[in-house]
Amino acid sequence: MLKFLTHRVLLMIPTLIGVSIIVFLMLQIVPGDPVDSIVPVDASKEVRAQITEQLGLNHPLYIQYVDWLMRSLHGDFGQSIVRQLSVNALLFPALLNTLILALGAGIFAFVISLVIGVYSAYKPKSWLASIGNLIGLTGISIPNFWAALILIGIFSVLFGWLPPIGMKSSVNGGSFADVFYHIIMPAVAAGMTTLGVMTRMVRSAVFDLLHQDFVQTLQAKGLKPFRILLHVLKNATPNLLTVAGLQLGYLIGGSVLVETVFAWPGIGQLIYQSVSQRDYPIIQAGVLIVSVIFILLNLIVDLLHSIIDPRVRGS
Amino acid sequence: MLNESELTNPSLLSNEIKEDSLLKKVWLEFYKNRIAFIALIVLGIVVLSCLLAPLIAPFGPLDGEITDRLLPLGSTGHILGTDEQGRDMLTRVLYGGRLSLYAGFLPVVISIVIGGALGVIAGYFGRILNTIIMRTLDIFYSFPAILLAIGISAALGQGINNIVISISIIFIPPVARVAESAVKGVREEEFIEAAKSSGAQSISIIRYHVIKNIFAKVFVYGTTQISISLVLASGLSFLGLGVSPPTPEWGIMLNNLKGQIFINPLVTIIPGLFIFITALTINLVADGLRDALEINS
Amino acid sequence: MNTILEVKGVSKSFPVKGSFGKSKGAVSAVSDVSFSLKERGTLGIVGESGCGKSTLARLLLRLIEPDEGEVLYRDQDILTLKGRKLNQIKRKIQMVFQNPYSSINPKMTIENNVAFSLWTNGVSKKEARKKANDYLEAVGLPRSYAHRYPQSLSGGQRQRVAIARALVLEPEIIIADEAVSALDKSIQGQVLNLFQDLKKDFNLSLLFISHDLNVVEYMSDEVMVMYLGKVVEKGSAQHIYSNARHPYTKALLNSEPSMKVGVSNLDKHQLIKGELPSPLNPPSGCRFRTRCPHATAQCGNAQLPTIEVNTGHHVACHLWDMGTGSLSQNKQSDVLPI
Repeated sequence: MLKFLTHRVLLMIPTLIGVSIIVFLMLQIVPGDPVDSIVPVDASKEVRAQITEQLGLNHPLYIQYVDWLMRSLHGDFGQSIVRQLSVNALLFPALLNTLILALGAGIFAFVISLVIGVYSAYKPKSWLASIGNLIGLTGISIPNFWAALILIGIFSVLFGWLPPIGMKSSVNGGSFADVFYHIIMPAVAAGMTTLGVMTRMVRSAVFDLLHQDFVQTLQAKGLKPFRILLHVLKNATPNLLTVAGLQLGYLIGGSVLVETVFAWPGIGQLIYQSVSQRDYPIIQAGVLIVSVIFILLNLIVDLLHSIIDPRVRGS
Repeated sequence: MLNESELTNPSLLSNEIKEDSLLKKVWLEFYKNRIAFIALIVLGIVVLSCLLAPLIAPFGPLDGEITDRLLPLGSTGHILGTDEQGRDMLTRVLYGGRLSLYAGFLPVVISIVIGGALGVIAGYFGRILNTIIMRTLDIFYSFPAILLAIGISAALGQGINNIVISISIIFIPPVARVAESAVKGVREEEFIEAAKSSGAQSISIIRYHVIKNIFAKVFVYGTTQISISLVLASGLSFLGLGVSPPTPEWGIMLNNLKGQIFINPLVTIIPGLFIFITALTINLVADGLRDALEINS
Repeated sequence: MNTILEVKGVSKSFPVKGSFGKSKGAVSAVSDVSFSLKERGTLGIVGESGCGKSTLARLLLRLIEPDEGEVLYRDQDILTLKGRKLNQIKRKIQMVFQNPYSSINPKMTIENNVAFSLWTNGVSKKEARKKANDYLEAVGLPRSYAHRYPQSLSGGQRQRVAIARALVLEPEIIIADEAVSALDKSIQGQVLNLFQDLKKDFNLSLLFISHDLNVVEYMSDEVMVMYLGKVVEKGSAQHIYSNARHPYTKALLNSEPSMKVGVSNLDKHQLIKGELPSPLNPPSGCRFRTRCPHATAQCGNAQLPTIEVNTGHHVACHLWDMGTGSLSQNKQSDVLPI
């Protein structure tokens, strides 16, 4: 187990270095001088030179990279260009909000997809299976920002049941019930794609397992259908876990659009605002942090997978 | 030698019956799948009407009277109502579809060509070339797709072609993976060894033996990517990374209209409805195509 | 008869890698194999699966590069050739593969499968297809099959296509690697006869590889027996089948079930004990000694003699050594000198 762990962690290092290079280079392809986005249009040459010096932009690219990487490793992501705050002060509260939303969306998607997916694999001709089909297809086809608008249209505009924007009420907000009330629509909208992918995935995985030889053996032994289903689920768990882990990663990085529509103060919205304001340190740090979380999540999934299914360790 | 049992089997000797080509068989199977077939027709209508927008749209895409703003569905002369500037929604949706479809399809084509080529090279030649190509592409898996696309689009600047580039970049690694694993399977087949022992060059083997045998897999994978690409492209456009108003495009139209949801919710959701219907029918067609190909292989 | 192909001391081992790319040793697939194939003759190569027969075939075609040794085609070492010169000789040695479901490209018509070998060597496509049709006819496939795809053909028909593809380059040597093993018994006979006929019609020399002793006996003038990558015995088919000398060959022949009704020979003779050892670090000296009923201490010695027990009949076994080589001359075939 320890060997597997070290092996996986060692493999992560080149990936992390690659990711940091891409994040760093991503903003090097931005046309124009980054100084332009910092200094006023009528700034003097001296001021420009001073800023260039300050940001280390006069050094060769690789030195800039190593410099940036070292600072990032120490948790220093610099200052926001537009807002007079450190990147950390903006980024981490937003990250927490995004994790809350991703968790909500994940719970919504996983629970429903598991119930419907398993049932429609077990009874493929039932009406619930048809609904499962529809959910699967809708989920993978619907743009989540459009789903968000429809939810607002129905539950805020038409019925007035749920708040259309924000994470908590402006007065006396912030309690668990209050946040829960606000999170329902964003979580459903953000979880839509995951719901579709997982429903299809669960159905086909369970369906395949139900048609394997060992299930026939269990049937021949006279096991009750429910007990057989438990056997099947046990076998499906490792793969489902892997997909669920990946989907959680996508939810953390992929809720930008939903956060924008619902004005959810998450990292996606922060990155989006920074894109339109050309606030590069935030974009850089935001993409890097989310990617690192994504990689760690993959690692955790792999470890869980290897605990459940020891065969993985061998390969 | 002709009087042997396996050759006198009448079913095998029915030489006059010309064998159906694989394409025809796949089409027959696809045709039997009613849902996929209907989806194909709906998709065809949407795509054609968008392409023919200048001929069939009742108004110009930028024409509008501010006094006619936000007319409801079914208004005289404006069957889908009007937008926040009083422009005809049907016209805008038809014109807007051209850019949305462009940004939906093109990245898939680009990623199949580039990703496919990388996958074939990595899979066929193996060894160090494989390690370099595949490990480099693996890095892209560590980014959530949307975030990477936003990052690249943001870096490249606003523009529909930059959206196409950023989506192509995030689609290349998975296509390359599919192609590479398919090539690895084909490479072990004995007909490749037979070709090698006949003195064939690698280029010739790749062209006649490898690509022919992996194309269906890569193509089917590509068709499932089209709807993702369409939704992603309109999402990036929704964020304002694509065209600038007043040019119509489904994503940006939805963004411009979203503030009107409290006034006229039905008209507001129309551009999104078109994204959804297009993506849905593409998925249904892709599913049908995959099933039809599976039966025939 | 002239020798058309002579193989001298060919070896190949594959490195096995553990985690982190550390080497775990090497699998010795083919070790110091020598033989010669006579012009228009048939050499049968037998052995259990995993004995290196298929690897040997691929080494001769340079589908795999040997570690050492020489492969002389008409006295020219093809292992040292490159480029055009190599390609010209490559065409003279063609192979018919084991699995007819894997050896034909399913995405090309029968005709193109055969014609590809020609057009990839510079013949025009039209010319190549015309010639392909001639050879398809020669292997007994109706002309109308040319435009079909392989999926509508039976295993036997596919193997005919594979044979036509090998013949179309007008080779002098055909290597048949388990070419009938995947076929039904009833079809096997037809394909074997086809090989015999084509051999006569096209003046071919045949290297016939199989695990099936009956098939090899039916096809071959000479036979070579392999065990774990090494040649244990070789000689004329008559000698080997009637007067086998190596304990492994004897055991192999004894383990072949009798084809006669009501006669079982299996319990009368000693069957081979145990499992095939791992080719990763195989036994030293004689590789069969771990399963040999007659093994002695000296069998582990690195130097294993190859003794000519009869004209052209060679055995790699200590039992026939000890300076009493003449002993073997008068020995009863199934009694070993111990």
